[in-house]
Amino acid sequence: MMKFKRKFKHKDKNNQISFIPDAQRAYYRTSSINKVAKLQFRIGFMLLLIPLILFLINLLYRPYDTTSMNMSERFTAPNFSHWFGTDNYGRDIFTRVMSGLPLTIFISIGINLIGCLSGLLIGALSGYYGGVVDYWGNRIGDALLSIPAILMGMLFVATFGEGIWQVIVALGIMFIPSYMRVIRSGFLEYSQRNFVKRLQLIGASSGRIIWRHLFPQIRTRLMSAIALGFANAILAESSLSFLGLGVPMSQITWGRMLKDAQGFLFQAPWSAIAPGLMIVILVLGSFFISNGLKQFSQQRNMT
Amino acid sequence: MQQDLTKAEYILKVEHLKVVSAQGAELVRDVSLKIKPGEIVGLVGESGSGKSISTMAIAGILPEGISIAQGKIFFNDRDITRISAQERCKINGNKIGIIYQDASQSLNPLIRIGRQIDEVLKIHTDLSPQERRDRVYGTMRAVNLSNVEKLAQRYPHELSGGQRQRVLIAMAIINNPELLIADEPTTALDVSVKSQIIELIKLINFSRKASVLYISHDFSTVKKLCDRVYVLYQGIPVEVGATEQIIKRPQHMYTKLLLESIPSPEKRGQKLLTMKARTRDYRGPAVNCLFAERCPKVFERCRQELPDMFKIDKGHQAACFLFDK
Amino acid sequence: MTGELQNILEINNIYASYSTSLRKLEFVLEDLSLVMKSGECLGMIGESGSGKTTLANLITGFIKPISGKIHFRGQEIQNLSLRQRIKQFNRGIQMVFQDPYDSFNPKMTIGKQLMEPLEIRKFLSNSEIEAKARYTLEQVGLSADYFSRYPHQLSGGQLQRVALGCALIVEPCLLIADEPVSSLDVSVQAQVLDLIIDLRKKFDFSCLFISHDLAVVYHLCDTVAVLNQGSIVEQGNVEEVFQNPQNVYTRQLISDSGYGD
Repeated sequence: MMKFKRKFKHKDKNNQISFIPDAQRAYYRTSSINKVAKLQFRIGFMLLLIPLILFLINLLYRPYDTTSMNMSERFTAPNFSHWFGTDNYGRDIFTRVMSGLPLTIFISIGINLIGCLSGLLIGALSGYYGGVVDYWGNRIGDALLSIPAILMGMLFVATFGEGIWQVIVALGIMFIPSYMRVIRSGFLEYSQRNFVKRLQLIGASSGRIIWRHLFPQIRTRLMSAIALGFANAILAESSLSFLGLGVPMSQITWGRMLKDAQGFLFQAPWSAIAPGLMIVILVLGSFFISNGLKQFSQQRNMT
Repeated sequence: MQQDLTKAEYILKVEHLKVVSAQGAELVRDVSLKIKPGEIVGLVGESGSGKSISTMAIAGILPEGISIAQGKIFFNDRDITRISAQERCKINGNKIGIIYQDASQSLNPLIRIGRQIDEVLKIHTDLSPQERRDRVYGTMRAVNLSNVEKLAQRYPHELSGGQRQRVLIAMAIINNPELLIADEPTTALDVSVKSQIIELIKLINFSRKASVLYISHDFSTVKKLCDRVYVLYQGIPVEVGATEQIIKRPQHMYTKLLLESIPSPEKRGQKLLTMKARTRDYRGPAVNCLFAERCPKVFERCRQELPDMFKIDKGHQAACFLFDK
Repeated sequence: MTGELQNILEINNIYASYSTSLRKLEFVLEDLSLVMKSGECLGMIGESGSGKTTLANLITGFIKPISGKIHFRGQEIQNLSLRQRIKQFNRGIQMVFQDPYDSFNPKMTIGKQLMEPLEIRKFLSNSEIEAKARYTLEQVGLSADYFSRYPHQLSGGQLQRVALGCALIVEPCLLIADEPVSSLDVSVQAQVLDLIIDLRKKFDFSCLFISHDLAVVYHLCDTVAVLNQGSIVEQGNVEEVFQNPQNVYTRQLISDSGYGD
């Protein structure tokens, strides 16, 4: 992250901005946008710091066992020994939230990996080649968009049974269109530029143009999309788990915890609030970072 | 006629204008210019010379983050440097007409031509729809558009580049402005259309008694159009004079070399550029002559002081120590 | 068919169109024929919409003609793809574009972009490639420290020099310059024109110089072709055409630009 900040900063330091063809374009790059973007980064980092600390604690020390039941302490309200209270089996919610974190993040990363890589493939080819390729690329995207995520989840669970991989693949496929759009629009924009023509003339292969010349142009945009996709994947997994289509009983994710809590929402609201709050923090954090990245990439496009 | 007597000597007077960006870069350093009623004044310079920014400052349309740091702008003896947005609205489009460079971007692509011209009238006058329509058609004819009833129903993209530029001019002159600011109106146009637009601006200046501030980097159009010329270099006027004086007898080395670098029949196949090539523009405060590093006749004093305008001839001035007598 | 070949480029009765349906066929180029001699600099004059850029795209192979033939160094090329052309011709066609900022990858250094054509060709070793790139950079009048700079750190004129270098580094037979100086300032334009004249002496290439500026064409070119609405209305020696235009349209164009007297 620091690398980014440094990269952006040095440009403003010199007063010599007359290099840009239309000199006026550079003038719009005011420091005020920079400040907003920086603030968003800061908020995003602070929010993401909370799950990160929890993750580190989880690695070193768990105050309670995550699975063993303690019927004498059912539905304990938050107190000093149980910070987030206990659930219907008397299990410590704080410990469960902590130990649910790695799996939640793993699933989210898996979903985004599938979505991003396939989206990159389809989007890059569509945007670069245009014409028929673009037409069919878009049709694939539209087709995927028309399937509701829940239906896809049900389909996978019905066919392959409950499991982590089923969730990742089902949701990963659902994430393809959004990535595809971002990447396609970026490739479309840059493949119209003359430097692509120049490269074609000197005999550069399409793969070389796409990977070495066009991909770097959209990298910041893609990072912003990934940060947002990360948040969306957590939400999607939670809602699937909430509906009982997600990870199996034995695994702990925040969505699973929410589903378990719904039976006694009024009796012990804390059992839903804790994982819910964590989801909100994680989603907001990555949303802010995504937004900050987007603003930086917009600023850079102006020059 | 009563009004004419009370009219100011100069329709536009800019005094020591300095425009800076948020980062402190000096985009316009010290521009003073005067336009008499009925005069066509050219503002010539290369990109980065601050000619566009000066005009934006005069029209009060500086982009965000760029502001006037010093100096005053008088329009009809009234200081318009720091007037409110509402006051500005009363002047722009009414007393000052502006023609922008890129006609295709200056028109709303979703609104018919007629309505876009009419909008200027709607804002600044309280004429009836009938009167407004007559005036729109009249102005469109005045800028040599033919078949105006049909053309008014068209959308901008259905027009040719020259026609769009004419529409923009019609919008600028419909309220009979006292000052017409033309920011490189011919840059994007073909040769034949270019000369037509120049003729049109000349005609407007003659028939509507509007003063014109013409901004360009193209000496060939300036030569045809302007009475007086200011040559700008890095935010400072380096030479002022009647067009003849500037084109035929340029005194400042920059103007001289700039004119020499235009290809002409006599210089066919020969080397054009005899001065040092441009490197990065310096944007800090000016302490010495800005052209010193490229000037072939540079001497010690140029590196130490910033030259004032020195008089050469009647109305002909240059910012160069060679003329300090 | 090598040494004594006179015409580097021969275009016969070309028709080109951007419309996809045959029913609404509008020709951008209509029955255009053009002959370009080896080693000459041909100026192509035309107003916007006359089909200048289409012609450039046709010759370089970005678009294919509907009918007609293009011969480059005696071989028919109108149906060859860009890759086939590179295989076929050791010294082919290169192009310089109007907007210098648009013709470079903004996130790659000048040096890398200069070396890229040679890297793709794989004829030379890495150190040879770098030496040649540095030599070319020197030839276009830029010092060695521009090698590691990014495009946005250069001015338009400097970048257009690099673009010329990028095109000439592969030693093309034909250089197509599509309005290379029209987005530049007067003094910068002069600088680039000086460079083109200079490079023509140093490198051995023919040049198709497309422009709407008659003064520039007169300054630079040996012969001139006037393009109007998709076909060439007049072609000949620059001085002859400018002093004694035969076609009505050419006459109008020359008088508008102030060149006729």
